[in-house]
Amino acid sequence: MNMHKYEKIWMLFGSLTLLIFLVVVGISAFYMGNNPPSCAVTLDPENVREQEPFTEPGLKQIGDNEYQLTIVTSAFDFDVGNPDKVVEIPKGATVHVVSTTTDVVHGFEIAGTNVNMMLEPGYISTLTYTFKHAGSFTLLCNEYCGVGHHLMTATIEVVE
Amino acid sequence: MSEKKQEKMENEEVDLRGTFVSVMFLGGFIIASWAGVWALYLYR
Amino acid sequence: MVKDERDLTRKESKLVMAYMYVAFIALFIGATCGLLQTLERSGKFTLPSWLSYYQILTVHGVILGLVLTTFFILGFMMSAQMKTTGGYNKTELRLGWIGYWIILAGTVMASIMILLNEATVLFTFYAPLQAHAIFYIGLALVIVGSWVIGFIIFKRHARFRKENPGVRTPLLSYMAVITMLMWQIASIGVAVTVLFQMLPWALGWVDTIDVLLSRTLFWYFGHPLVYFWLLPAYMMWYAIMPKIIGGKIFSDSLARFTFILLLLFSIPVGFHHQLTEPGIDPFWKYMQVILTFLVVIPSMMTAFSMFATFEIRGRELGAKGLLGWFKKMPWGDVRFLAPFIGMVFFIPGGAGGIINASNQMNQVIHNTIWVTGHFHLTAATVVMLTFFGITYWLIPSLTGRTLTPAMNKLGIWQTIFWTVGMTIMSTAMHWQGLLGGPRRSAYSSYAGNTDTAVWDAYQIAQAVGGSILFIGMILMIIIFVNLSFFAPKGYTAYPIAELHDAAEETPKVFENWKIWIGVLVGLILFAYTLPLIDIIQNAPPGAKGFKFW
Repeated sequence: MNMHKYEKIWMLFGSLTLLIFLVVVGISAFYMGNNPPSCAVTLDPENVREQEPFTEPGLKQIGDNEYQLTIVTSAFDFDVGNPDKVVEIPKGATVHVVSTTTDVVHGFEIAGTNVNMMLEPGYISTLTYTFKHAGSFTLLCNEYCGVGHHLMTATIEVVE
Repeated sequence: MSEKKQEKMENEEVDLRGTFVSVMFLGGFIIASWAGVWALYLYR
Repeated sequence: MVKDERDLTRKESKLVMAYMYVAFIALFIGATCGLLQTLERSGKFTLPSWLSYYQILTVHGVILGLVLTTFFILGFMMSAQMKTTGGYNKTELRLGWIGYWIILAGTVMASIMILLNEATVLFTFYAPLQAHAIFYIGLALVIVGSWVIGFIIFKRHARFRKENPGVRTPLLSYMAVITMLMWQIASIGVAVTVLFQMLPWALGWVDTIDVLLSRTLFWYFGHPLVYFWLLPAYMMWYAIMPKIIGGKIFSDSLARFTFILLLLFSIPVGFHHQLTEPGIDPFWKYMQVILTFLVVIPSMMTAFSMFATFEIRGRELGAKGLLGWFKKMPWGDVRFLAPFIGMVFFIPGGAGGIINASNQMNQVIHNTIWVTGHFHLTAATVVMLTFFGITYWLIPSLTGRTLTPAMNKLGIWQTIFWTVGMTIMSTAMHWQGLLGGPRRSAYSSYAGNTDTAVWDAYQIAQAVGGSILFIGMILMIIIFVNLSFFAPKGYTAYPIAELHDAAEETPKVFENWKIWIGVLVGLILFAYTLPLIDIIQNAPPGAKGFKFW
């Protein structure tokens, strides 16, 4: 099986490029702690609201400039702890987002940020994110969950 | 053996400069778009 | 009186045409739904109250992603094998019809349930959204029917080797075997979740379902599914495209080697669709990301082979300079133009694919409309334009007719409409996705914030693209009907390219299926055994079914 000289160079170049991509995301994921959301904690999907921390959804300060944002997701609602569905977060705060679903699979996405994770019945999903930019960010569901899928929404206000 | 060698020579002689330029352009496109989205990931 | 001469026998042609009719009816229905979706999401039109956005989205996905592709691919691959191996015997033809009716029955069952609004679960049918049991039975029949066709393709290839000892097997038959081998091994995953998880649960025999296990089995199948669409396009590029430009196959061995790599690395990569899911260890996600990147390698080889095929031919025709060969290509021949544009679109398609699979970077685009834009490049442009390119000679070759210059011209317009429409729609989808716009969503102004308000412009652009694509689809249907029933009678050759390196021997190991299946099974076991044990052992209480539509 002959390979043309140029093809050998191209394959070497291409493979090296892929290797560099892998090393970059690998270091970021495992060394700098930016793994994709992979929380392995489970719960009973039948009575989510009776289990910690979902008994009390909303934003809670847990340290210096550090918060936990707990949200109960269901068709077709994000329960962020208040009826206005607005959460105010100081700019630069580190937020541990914790959510789960009480029914079907939902997508949990704060548009324009890296907060993007799947919610599956029986699993808690967590993601830590630092809100670096001020403004209004929309929380929405990005996995089809039924007729009201596109109506699920809440607002994250990142304030100076 | 010699026949094989000769055939290999022939294959090497095919002028594929244009192909090489094209695939390298393709590679450049992949790197640029990947780097762009990676920058977006870091910025966010 | 023109003599009725064809490359395949009448019986063979009839069988393949049966697959093609279903494929093009599916194209018509599916693309019409696509138009309605883009119009609805532009915010300028509302669907009638009896028609839900998500119902037509389900039709669109099922009928284009599963029905059109499966029927076209199986029909095309059988025809390629008939042509290159010396034809199908009675048993093989009969099995071809049995497979056809099984798949068609499954399709009809699933379609009826979707139309009755009993299965508005989209084409990924993720639990615990629960469709009617008949929908799942229909899906299972589609899979089982396709296995019958896979069996025919394996059998015919084996028969060729037995009847022609020492002769190199036809390249297209070899590639069809690889494609179906990948398909059979991958579809076991979806068959298991449909038959043993979803069906008993939809019938009420069990109350709950293990959602993560079901999704993992689905995606074990889901990525090879997209390669099941792509590989037949590669078959055309490698073994037929050279003939259309008057050239030869760049390298038989490299083509076979590419397909082996595609077989090995298409399956143990499903986690790159589940990167943002809970319950899967990040180490195993990253392992499958590495395996996913390995499947890029055969595609890089393909890119080189294709450019080389064009350059060698162009230089034969007297092209000068670095890129002069480009001008020597038969741009006025739609049989070249359509698949060529398909190839070009694989450049942004492939680049996007690498981005999608890049572990945590997936968070930027996961489930945004970027992903929809991505597979409308890869599946709906790369693969579909290649399939359209095949149609221009396959259909007249089967029906004993010819492609007239007028139809060729219409085909060129078809290609232009498709290219322009898809460029507009897909680009808008990619950009909106980077801004966070979700996929699979009806029009919404969300909380009324400015970040989501800017999406409207992109959605209008998608409707413009979708409308142009709809015209392209109508042109394609006109061409298909013409080639099937009205084009002038005559002989159309089934184009098969010769080898550039005919003297070079193809390594024997390429036909040693035990080795390749062994390596593949090894890779699958490596990628999936521990994570699956983990998923099953640490499973939460199961989920009840919901019908939220």
